[in-house]
Amino acid sequence: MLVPIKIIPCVMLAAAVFTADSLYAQVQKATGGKNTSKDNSITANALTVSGTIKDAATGKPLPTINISVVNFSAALTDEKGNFTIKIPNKSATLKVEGEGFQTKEIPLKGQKTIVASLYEESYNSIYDNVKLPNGDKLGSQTVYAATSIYTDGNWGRNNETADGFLQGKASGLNATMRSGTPNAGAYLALRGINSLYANNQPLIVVDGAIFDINDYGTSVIANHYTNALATIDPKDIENITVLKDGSATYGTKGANGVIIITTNHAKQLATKIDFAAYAGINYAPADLPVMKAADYRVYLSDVLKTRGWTDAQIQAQPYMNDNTSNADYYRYHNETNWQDQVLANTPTNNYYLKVTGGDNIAKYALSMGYMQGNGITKSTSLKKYSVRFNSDLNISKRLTAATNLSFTYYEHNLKDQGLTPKTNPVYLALVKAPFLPINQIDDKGVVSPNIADTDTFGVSNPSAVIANMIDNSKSYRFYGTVSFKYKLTNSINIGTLLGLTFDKTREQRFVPRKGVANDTLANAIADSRMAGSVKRLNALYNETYFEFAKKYNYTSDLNIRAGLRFLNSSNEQDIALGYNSATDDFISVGTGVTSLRKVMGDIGKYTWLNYYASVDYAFKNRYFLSANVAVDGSSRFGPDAVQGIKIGGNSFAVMPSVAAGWLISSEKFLADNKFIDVLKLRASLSKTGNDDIGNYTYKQSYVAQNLLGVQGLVRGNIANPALQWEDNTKFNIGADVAILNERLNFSIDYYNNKTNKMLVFETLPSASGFSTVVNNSGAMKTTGIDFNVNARIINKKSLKLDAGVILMLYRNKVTSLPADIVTNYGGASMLSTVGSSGAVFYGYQTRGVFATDADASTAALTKKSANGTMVGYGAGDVRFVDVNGDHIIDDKDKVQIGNPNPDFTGAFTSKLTYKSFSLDVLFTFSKGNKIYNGIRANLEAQSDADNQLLSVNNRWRTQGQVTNMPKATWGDPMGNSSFSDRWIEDGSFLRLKTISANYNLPLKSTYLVKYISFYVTGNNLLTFTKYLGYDPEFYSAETMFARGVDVGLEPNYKSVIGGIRIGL
Amino acid sequence: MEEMEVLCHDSKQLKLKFLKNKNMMMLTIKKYRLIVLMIAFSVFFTACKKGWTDHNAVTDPNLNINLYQAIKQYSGTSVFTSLLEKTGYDKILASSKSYTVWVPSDSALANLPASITGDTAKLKKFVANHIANGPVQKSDTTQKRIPVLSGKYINISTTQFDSATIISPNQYASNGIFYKVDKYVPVIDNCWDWLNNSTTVTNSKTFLLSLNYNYFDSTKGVQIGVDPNTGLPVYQAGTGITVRNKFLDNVMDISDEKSEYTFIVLNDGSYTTELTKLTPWFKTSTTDSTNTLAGSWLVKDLAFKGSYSAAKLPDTLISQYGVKVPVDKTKITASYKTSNGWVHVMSQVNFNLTYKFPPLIIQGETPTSFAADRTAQTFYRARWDSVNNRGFNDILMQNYSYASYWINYLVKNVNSMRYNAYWVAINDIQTTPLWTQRLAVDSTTTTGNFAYVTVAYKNYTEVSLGQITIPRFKNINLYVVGANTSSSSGGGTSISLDYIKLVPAF
Repeated sequence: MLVPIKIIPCVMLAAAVFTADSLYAQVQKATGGKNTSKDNSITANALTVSGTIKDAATGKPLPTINISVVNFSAALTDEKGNFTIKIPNKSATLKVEGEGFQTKEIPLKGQKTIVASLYEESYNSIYDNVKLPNGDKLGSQTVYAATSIYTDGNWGRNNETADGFLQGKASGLNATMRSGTPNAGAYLALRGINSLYANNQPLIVVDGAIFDINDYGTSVIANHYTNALATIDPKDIENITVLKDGSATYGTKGANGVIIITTNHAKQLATKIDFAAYAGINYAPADLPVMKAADYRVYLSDVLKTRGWTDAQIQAQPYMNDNTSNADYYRYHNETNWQDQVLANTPTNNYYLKVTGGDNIAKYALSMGYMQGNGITKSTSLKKYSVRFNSDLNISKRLTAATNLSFTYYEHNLKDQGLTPKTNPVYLALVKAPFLPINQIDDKGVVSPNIADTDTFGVSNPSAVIANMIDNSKSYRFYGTVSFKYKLTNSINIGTLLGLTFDKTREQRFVPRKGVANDTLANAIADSRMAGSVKRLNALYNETYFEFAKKYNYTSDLNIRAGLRFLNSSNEQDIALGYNSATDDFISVGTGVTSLRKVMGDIGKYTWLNYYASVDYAFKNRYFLSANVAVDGSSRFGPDAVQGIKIGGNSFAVMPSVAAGWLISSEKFLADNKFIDVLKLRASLSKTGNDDIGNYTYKQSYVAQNLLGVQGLVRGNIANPALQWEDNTKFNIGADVAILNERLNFSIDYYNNKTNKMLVFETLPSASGFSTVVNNSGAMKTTGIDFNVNARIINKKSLKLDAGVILMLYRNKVTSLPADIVTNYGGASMLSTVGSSGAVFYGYQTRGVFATDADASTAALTKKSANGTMVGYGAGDVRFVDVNGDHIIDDKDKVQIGNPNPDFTGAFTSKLTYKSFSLDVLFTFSKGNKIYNGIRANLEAQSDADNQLLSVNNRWRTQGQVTNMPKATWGDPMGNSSFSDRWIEDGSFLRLKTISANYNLPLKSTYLVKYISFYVTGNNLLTFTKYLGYDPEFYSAETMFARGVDVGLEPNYKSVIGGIRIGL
Repeated sequence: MEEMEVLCHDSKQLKLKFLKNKNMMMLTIKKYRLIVLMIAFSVFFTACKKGWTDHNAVTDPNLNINLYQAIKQYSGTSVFTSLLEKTGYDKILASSKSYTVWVPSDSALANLPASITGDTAKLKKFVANHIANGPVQKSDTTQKRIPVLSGKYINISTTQFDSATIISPNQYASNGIFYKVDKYVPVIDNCWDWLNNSTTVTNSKTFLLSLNYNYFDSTKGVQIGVDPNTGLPVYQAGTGITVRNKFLDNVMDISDEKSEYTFIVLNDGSYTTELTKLTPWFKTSTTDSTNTLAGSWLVKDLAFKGSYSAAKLPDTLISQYGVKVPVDKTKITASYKTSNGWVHVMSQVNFNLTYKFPPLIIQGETPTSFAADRTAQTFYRARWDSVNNRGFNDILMQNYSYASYWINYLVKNVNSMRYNAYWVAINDIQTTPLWTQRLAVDSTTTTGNFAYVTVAYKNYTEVSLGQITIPRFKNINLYVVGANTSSSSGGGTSISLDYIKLVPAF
């Protein structure tokens, strides 16, 4: 893939130079010819053009299609599809719109007769409306790399969160499912990585206001992520626009791009009712191949032998005694498939009702949803209730208003996930000894209904965790925007928009003592554990703006918008922890032992202010220029920030941007061309920023400290008043092309994002008394290519087949760091160093296993043991690569062993329509990303009594045995299971993400029921991967340093859902 | 144009050429081609196997078979295989625990005596004698003596299994390791069993077995209830009774298989000779008890830790009681290898009597009783002897105001013999007045051989007190008696004692 990357920039650069030159020339010409333009327009009044509009599928003429030259003239086609319309000049552009058909622009290019064909409304066309921060624009006229997605109600894929729905929808947008937990959604990354420590997710704007998707604070439920986007029902979404550049007006919030979500509003005045009901099954994933009792016992007798136990001690263990008259026999001679005990196929169902309608003064769209779904982990469930009320009001002739009010509430019963070896039921199911029973068994083998307690190895009973542990989350979000727009004159509008967010999440956790291994606190043993947490987020947003739009001489359009945005956000979390309640019936924090109770919390407030101005200029609908500037202030910025300007002692970031587009296909020299429909070149250069630097990071803080029983305050950090936003410069060059009468559409973009002033936790000398200081001392860059193609392969009246490919790739490179950063997460080490991608896997290289002592002594490698002596590796130990040649295996031998960034990712889409039947297919794929399989690392560590994978049967047994699986050793003194390339796997996958079939029951229009549709949707039905975990797709934590680290979250699962949709 | 390798884990990896370049795409896409492509995709993918199959595949054929199968397959092990099958150990070696087997070669087993093959129980034990729990690595030098399933322990080295030499090392299977060895290792008696089964040494055997006694082992008793009055468990009559032996309890457990011992057994003649030597010093009321006491005294120094074959025996062994036992190899009449060491039958052991009967030392600071309670006047001292440069503990009594005050010491098991008596009584506190004290035996009033002795200032040496004859093997009471005056002025009546020493005068 490296070759194209290097070539493409050169080509693009050449194109950019060419574009810029010609633009310059055109602008010159335009101003030069200003005097004559009026004459042109006068003579143009006499000009007309006529033509025919046809259906692209059937070739039949289309009647009542609206043809217009904006602000000049309009016409309708007759029953033969013919029209005649006045035009201002020969190079004017016709806009073609019609009910049920796509909107299209036709540049005349001097032609007198036009023959054009239209596709159906849902056709994925290059002309589709794009919702930009400054207002709607036809796709053919945008100068930005923007993808506009019309969800079309998303009726087939109803089980998604808004972020999960975005998978495979837009090139450049990498949506990685966090886990299979319902509501967890997807981690969104637009064009790779821009920061090490700050947020890498794009800004989400819903109905004009900033929608905060951060999961503030910490969850008391292990590895649980509260996904704010789960509060938006995708069925309520009309359009999602993914804006990859052109985010500069959002200033220091635009570094990661912007996703603009617009919810449904009523389109027609007539009352319309949509009702949908679905039910389906989620399928538990295939079991990981762990050992059964027989293999496990052989492993156990091998590993116990290395524990220092005598033969008699080992043989005295109840599980080694095969005498059936032994009292413990029945308790230790079972065959339990623990994975079956924790994972199950579960049902899911949901209902949705939408009513739209209204009159001339007020239109409304009311929707309600209910969903109930169980996760694939037993006794987990989600219940979600949502309601939305959107309205459009014409208060007076000049004043209009709109509201978007939504409320979503959900109750989530969860279980711990990830590397929480005492309480994660899935992990426990993998490591629990298979010969142990689920329930208590007496000496005679009679099974009790009571669940067995923690076993002789100190491993919790997964069934006890399933049955009695509580991880409960209740959450709601109210999100509403109210906007007013006043039409001052025909060309000037002023408007304001107010957005409010109220979000609250209440969590409860209880870990019973029975069946769950104890925890160790600083001064006590915790048998039962209780926790409660309340998280709140309140945000107030306002945007007030001035708009000016005018057309000059029907050749140039000028749009100016200036305004200010204001965001005041505060969040708070309160956590209480309790331990050791009297019995397992007391589950609240207050019932715990008083002296062990802990209360803690977190509070964060910030204010952000953004002044912006933007000018869009279009000449002859061919040449487009856009210039923006944003001036940003934030309570997070240090007063002594190096960049930006100072106003009243505060630092403000200045973020200018410029973008230009050239619609070559509208040029006269392409007038005779029937092959190219749209060819547009775009380029943009913008400065944006990332304000995710912490609310109070630049300030001096104090923390409480106890010294010999005396409480006091000590300095908590070193203040950095020069702390500022991360500065991000984006360069983008791209082309949008439609050819063969729009049968084939594609876009390609090359981008280069440079982050300067990147936030880094710099290591301090220990004499300072602090370990780190936060500073803007790093830099990185990301370059990449986004490509997408859509083709109508079959275009018949009754049979249509669309296919599309999205392909994106990026290369990240850290360009400046004060020192290398090594971070650890979930057993993996990550290195960030100048010259390579941020956070790549950093560990030992291995070359198999020493087959004999002779091999080991030839290699003469040693390792420092726990007591400081040097110990030589022996037969059966892993042969680590001694990188520095000193014959000692230590940190100096660690190297980069894999990059979690993919070579490329993307999706295949296909839609087949046959009469009333349609079939949607979505494949997603990722190639070349490396994964640290933390679960396999634990299940092949061979260092304790945990059950192991079947592959451990290949372990080294005796001298001369050639294998790549080292010997079993208790406690792993030689570090055979250290973080190394043994656990780095290829995370490439190709997945049939969705296959959805839909059948519309043909109904006569006189029926009361407008339509009835049936759906069957399969999710994740096929996944092709070499990855050995449950699933190659996950996002363990919201940090760069957790990427590609599989800590054992609930895997994505297969599901099949059937549904019905009825329209009244 | 580029090739994208589609992810598949089948060994026969197909490659699908995917046209990615837009121009190529434009030229090559024709109707239905993509459909065909996608169908091909689906068919191809469903044909793929999961990655686990490869990862878990046991590539080593040895690991696909269990130990029994592996031994059966191996060349030159068919005799042992048939023995495994005959004894049922084939099922054990096929089970889900790991083992190590030392397989005697066919030629080694060719001359296996019928006494073993003919007796199922013996054969079972014989086979078990070649099997150990868990993997035993050839290179493992930390283990020198390992338990095998017969209950015996076998000495191993990197090349040997007991006396057998390893010919084919490091053969492995899914549940363990086996070695082919050139000899079989029969199940033999341990030192104690040898004695039990011995027919040649009657006197020693009779005496040692006479030390057997019955012992109630509650862990082996069958509990049938709880006594309502005492709350103690009630056991079924006749259960839990085990036989123990005082020699094994007190001298050395030579029935223990874990360690190795050298056991010297006196032949009948020499046993009588040695016993006759000892009996005068164990005079009691009965001949039997005299013989028992003398016999015990005789055998207590005949078991040693460590395995010494006749050739490797040193000229002197030291028993665990510190008695030097001279070994005259010419007097060894027979030597027997046992499963836990060696038994040597000897016709003579010349004990050095000074070692056999060491002096009795009675420490002054461990009195048994006093004439009267004088706690406040009693000092248990830790002092420094500047002459001999040693620290010592003693007892000192001062100002107790009691005429002929005495301190009593009980001395147990004193042989019926003559002793020379000494003491060390230290006065390091006053030059004047010096006090007197005397030793008395069995009575405080009888003066007998012992007169008052003046305790000189700072005399750290042993003071000879005279001779005493003990007529019978018994416990005696010794007394240290103070001056016969109750006056306590100036410390003139004091008692001090570091120790009393009774040295046998043969």
